Amino acid sequence: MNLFRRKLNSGILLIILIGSLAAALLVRVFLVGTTELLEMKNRTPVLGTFATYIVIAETEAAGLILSSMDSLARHLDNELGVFGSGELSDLNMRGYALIPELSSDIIYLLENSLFIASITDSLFDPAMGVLVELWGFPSDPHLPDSSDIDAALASSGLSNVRISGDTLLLTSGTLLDFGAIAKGYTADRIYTLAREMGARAVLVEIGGEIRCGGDPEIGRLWTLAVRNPRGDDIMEMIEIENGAVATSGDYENYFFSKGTRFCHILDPRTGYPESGTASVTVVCADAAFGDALATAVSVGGIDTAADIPDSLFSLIIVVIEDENGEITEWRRGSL
Amino acid sequence: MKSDKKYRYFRLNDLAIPVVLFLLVLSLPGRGENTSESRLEVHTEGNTLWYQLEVDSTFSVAGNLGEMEIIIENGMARIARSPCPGQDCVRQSWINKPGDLAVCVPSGVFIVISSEEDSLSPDAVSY
Repeated sequence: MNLFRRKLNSGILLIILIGSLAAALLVRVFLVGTTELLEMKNRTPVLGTFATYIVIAETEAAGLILSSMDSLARHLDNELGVFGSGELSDLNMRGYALIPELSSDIIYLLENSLFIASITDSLFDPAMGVLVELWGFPSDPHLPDSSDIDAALASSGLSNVRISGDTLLLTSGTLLDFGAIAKGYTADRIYTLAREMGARAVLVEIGGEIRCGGDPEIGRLWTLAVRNPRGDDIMEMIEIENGAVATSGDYENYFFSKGTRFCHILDPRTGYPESGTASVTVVCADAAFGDALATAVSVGGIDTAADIPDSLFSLIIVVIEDENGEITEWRRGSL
Repeated sequence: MKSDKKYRYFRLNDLAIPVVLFLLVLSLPGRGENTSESRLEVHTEGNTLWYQLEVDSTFSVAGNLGEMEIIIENGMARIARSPCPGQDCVRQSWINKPGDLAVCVPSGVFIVISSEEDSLSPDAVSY
């Protein structure tokens, strides 16, 4: 009798074990899906810097998505170049363009550059191409004559960009340069393309500007590092599921002249590089906005950071270096 | 008689086993989720691609001489096909440990198993 009950007991236990295993597998299939997902990563040179793409997608689609992302990056690299054979170069050379004929990329960049300029007292300005060229960034940076800076300053700035009817007009000599927003914008465009193609989670990093996100059920938490502006180590680790992180720093491209450090971030008010802000990191929804806001705050410092509407960001970190080389950190917002 | 009470059909504690098993299965990482396992890096001219070793796959990459085929199977990887004249890369055995490397010099392509430390590094750096 005891033997019978023991056998019965162990049999029921076995049924319970198998049943719970099957139930767990069914729940997993319901939550995660039956398709096999692959995570792929690619690092490649583009836009004068390096890009990193991470894609989680169905095995059959992942390769095509990655190659499409790379193709779009190269297309935008060409179209948004100040010089070369793309649309922006053509606009700069002609000095005008019919607005209905402009691509959605140029329209977006113009509209949002004007918006960022309006909320930062024009400290973000995409019409600084002549000044950037004069200073020789990024390939041949040098200190120009002050008279040349004054002349370049006169033909720089959004005041030299006008709309007449359906025509966009640039003052003679004015060059549009979206370098302070283009990397972030390209990251956003590539991210959107990959998601539209079926990627379940995506990260795009171009020259340090990052856009990432994914389906909630995938649960991919992205671990992002922010570089220390005065060292080779990491200043901050950030974990987000969706969003963007953009950083501007005076350490990316700079030179010394007579003991003074000159970085690539130019102040639209003076025509000279900003000084005092070592780096600015913005965590927000879109990399384009983060990229442009980080540039504006690099120029305007914490006063500009304090005036940015709450709705445009989650966190701003400003690292300041005073005349004695002392570093302080200022923060607004949280993750 | 005592033993009859000891072996009842059910005891409340018996439920602990299936509950733990249920939670354990649910918590197992699925494919595509972030794990700290080794990955395969495929280096071509100007490009680096990362693949999960736990997903069997066959894929092509572009080398200097043309398309090459790489296979991942049972957590191992090898160059399966190459247009190079010597075919040394194709004859090389499977690689499966961090640091293991297979190279096709004429194609400018090499594959390497990346270490666990690499996979624990951040996904990207903002600078």
